[in-house]
Amino acid sequence: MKRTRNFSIIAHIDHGKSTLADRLLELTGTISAHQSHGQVLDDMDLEQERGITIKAHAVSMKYVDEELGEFTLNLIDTPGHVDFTYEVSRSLAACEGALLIVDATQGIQAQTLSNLYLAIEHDLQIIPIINKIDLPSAQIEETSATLVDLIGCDPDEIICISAKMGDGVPEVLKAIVRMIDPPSGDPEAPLRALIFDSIFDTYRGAVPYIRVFDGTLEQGMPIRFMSSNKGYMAEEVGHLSLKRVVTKSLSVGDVGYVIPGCKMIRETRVGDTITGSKDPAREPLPGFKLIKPMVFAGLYPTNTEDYADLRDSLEKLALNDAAFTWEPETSIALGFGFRCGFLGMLHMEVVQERLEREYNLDLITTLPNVEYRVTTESGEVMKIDNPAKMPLISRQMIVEEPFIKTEIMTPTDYIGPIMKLSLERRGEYKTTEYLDGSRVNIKFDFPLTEVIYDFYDRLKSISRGYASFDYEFEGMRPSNMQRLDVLLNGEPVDALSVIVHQDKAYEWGQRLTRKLKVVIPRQLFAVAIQAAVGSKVIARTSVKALRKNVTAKCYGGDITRKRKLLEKQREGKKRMKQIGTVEIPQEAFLALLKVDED
Amino acid sequence: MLDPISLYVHVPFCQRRCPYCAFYSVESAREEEITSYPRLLLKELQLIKESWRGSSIGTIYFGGGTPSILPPSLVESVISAAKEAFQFEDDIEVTLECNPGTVDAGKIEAFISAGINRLSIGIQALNDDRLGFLGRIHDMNQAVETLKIATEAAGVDVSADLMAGTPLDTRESWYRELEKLLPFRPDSLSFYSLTVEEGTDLALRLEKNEKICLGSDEVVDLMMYIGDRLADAGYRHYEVSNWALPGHECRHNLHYWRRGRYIGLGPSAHSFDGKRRSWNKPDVTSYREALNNGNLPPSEYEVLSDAEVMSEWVYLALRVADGLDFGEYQEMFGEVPSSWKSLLEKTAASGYGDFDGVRFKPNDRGLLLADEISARILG
Repeated sequence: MKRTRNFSIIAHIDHGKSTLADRLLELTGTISAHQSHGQVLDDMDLEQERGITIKAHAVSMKYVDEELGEFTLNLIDTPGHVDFTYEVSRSLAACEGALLIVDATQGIQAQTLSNLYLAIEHDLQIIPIINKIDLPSAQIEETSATLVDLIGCDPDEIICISAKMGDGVPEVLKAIVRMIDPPSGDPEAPLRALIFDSIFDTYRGAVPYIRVFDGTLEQGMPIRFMSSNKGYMAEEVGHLSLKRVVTKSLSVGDVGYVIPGCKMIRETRVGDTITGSKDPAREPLPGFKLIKPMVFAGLYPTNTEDYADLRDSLEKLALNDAAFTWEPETSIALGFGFRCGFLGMLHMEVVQERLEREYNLDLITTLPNVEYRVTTESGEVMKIDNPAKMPLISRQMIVEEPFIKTEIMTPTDYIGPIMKLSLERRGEYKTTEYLDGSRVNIKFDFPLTEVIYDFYDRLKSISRGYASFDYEFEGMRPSNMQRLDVLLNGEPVDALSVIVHQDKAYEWGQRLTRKLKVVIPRQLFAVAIQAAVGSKVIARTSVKALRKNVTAKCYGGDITRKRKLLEKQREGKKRMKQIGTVEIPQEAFLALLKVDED
Repeated sequence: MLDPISLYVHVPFCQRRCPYCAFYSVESAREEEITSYPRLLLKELQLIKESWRGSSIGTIYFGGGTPSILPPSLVESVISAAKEAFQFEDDIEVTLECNPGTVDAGKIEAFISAGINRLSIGIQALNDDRLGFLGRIHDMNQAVETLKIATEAAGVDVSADLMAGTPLDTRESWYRELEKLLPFRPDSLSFYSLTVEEGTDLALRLEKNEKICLGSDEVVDLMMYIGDRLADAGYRHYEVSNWALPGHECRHNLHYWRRGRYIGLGPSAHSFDGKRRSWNKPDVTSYREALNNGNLPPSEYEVLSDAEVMSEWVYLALRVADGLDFGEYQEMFGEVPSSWKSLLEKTAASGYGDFDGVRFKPNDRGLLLADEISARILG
């Protein structure tokens, strides 16, 4: 245990976390240089393409220090997106130290800062690193000054590296074994192991990744999860190198995995404590939270025949994504589908993309929404995760919506536009902190619903990519929310209903109708588009009927060609949803996502 | 006794290709190449006639290309050979496509003597600017002259082809062109809206962002205007692009739209026996080579599935003014799908035609939406 170091890397997207991790793996001989042409920590295609790490992983390395001898280094990766703050906090809880990487050309970003605070909260030893010093635009001195201000370190402690070129990386290894404390814990106490991640293995079921804090986890030992108090057997335990490596036991300070033989990943919750069934610990490790989805949307198959396939795919997906929830629902417009819950928008996009790519499904996704709490006159409390189910709100009813606490970090140049955007989104201003002469951290409380669509994109565009953003759930607050319905040719389309703030209903009505006018193609019959609150129409427009769709000539030789053209048109129509006599392309539902684009 | 079949004869030669035309044709061929061509048609006819034994011919159509480039005597030789191979119906219709600039009064007389009883004249426009844009070899005066000769000749029905929808078209220009055209009282008229076909000059020019066609709504406005003028003049709009004085509809084309059987001779020509559609490859050199060696020219074919037969029947029915009849459908394909009735009711109610519960007859507006309506009802 004295020869073990457990650490994470805190970095903003593209600041070089994966590249540094690769260099560490090479230098310790865990992989050879040519093996690491891809970045090892990101092993899902999607992660590599998006350059973000969605699922946390861990890897052990053997490191021989010239002076101090051999060590086991456990690198515990953290997911790098605002939707996954809780997972990050659990990964950090499994470590004694963290490498803080800041890009010398970009400076520190909001998410890095909030993860850094999380690390400090967990008493992690921080090793400050400035990366990309090889780039001509590197501002090493400024970045160094910010780091000194931020964590109160000595400027000499900061390691300047180029992860890409490999410069400075040996110093990082030296610092890890010197500055980070060895893990502590009581080997004689009852077992307490923290689950910091869990993956799903098709053959073995859920595989929790764990850090042992007290006691020993042995193969064959009866264990139990303290949040659910469910008992299992440790069928297999081991270390995490690039692959799973079976061992007899894991003891205090060790990072590894256990195969408990449970089929559902949901039973192995991140943050939960594993203990022994025979001699259980009295208290679980602190910090466990049941994570709940915050954003909901309806997922429907474009072709109704694909319903069963979609259900099977969701089932499989939920096996290895504990944060994802789903239940069947029916829409008058879209037929049979599912209401799905996600941690946030990125999570939703990832799920959607996986369903389309890995499971080959054509989906219609409704406009996402948050979950509202409605208290009726009689005191009955309803949770509404589907706008179509929102009742008409009378004066005696109370609607509450989720609020989040956010931090927006930005160069001072963009304070004005960010303030404006935030107030448009019903943001409640809290404070501004100056990080240095040119950067501030602005705190706002926001209704979650106002940030789930395109807030992040807008923030990026008004700050030319410089502002960054982080959030956490704050609580439910009463708000004047209403259901806004969309009617096509007088018929309400339940899948297009949204819940909006009273003050924004008119604006939303205008935007929705305008947007639909663009995406609904001209067709055989004219389409009247209306937006209404209750029975009151607040916006209207129309799509004129198509006037011409015919090929001029059709003689002997044209008939085959023409039939093929028609088949193409029919294919196109199959991708449309027919609602009454109106044909809506599935893009219409997607287009509404970008409702604020003018 | 089988229904009469139709015979299509493709003549793939032009003085100059028109920039919008996607039909197979060879530009400025040598005279010998052109005059030796009908012999190949006869050879092909000899090779295929066995499989069409017992059929009689109701219509013949010489299309192109520019069939009027052929000497009338050679046209006659093809007609005679067809007559020898098959029975001719008493009221046989024999059409020849004829372009101004390739014929004079004497040649037209000679075609009529050769057995042609319908001339389809490729006028395209009666305005020199529009003719220039369309890249035609003739000018307005030649077009008027050819119309005059043809309509004054005895024993022949005259049809005129015109093209609408160039960027030069306006309601005023069409008013003037129709003023010139209608006094000749052609028996039938075709008005095509200009479309950009793949591989044509126009397609290249469109890629370079040249304005090639009017917008779809503008074309519709013009077609509606033209349709109104033609209706006033006594013409019936009997197919998407075709109008005729009563009793003068092109029977050859109606035969296609009713899914009749036909033989096609020449490169790129199609044949259809009710289930199987085959087409010669569009290459006159390999066509010549094969026939000179006593072989059938290279061709491809498709055999239609029942569903394809049905969808062809539906979209072809919706292209003609007689429209789609539930009784005829039932006879061929069984029960009419239940959704059709309400959709066609709504279509008629929206001003696209008449529907009495068993037959939907598209009007001028409905014919311009024939593909949309077929795609909707076929689902």
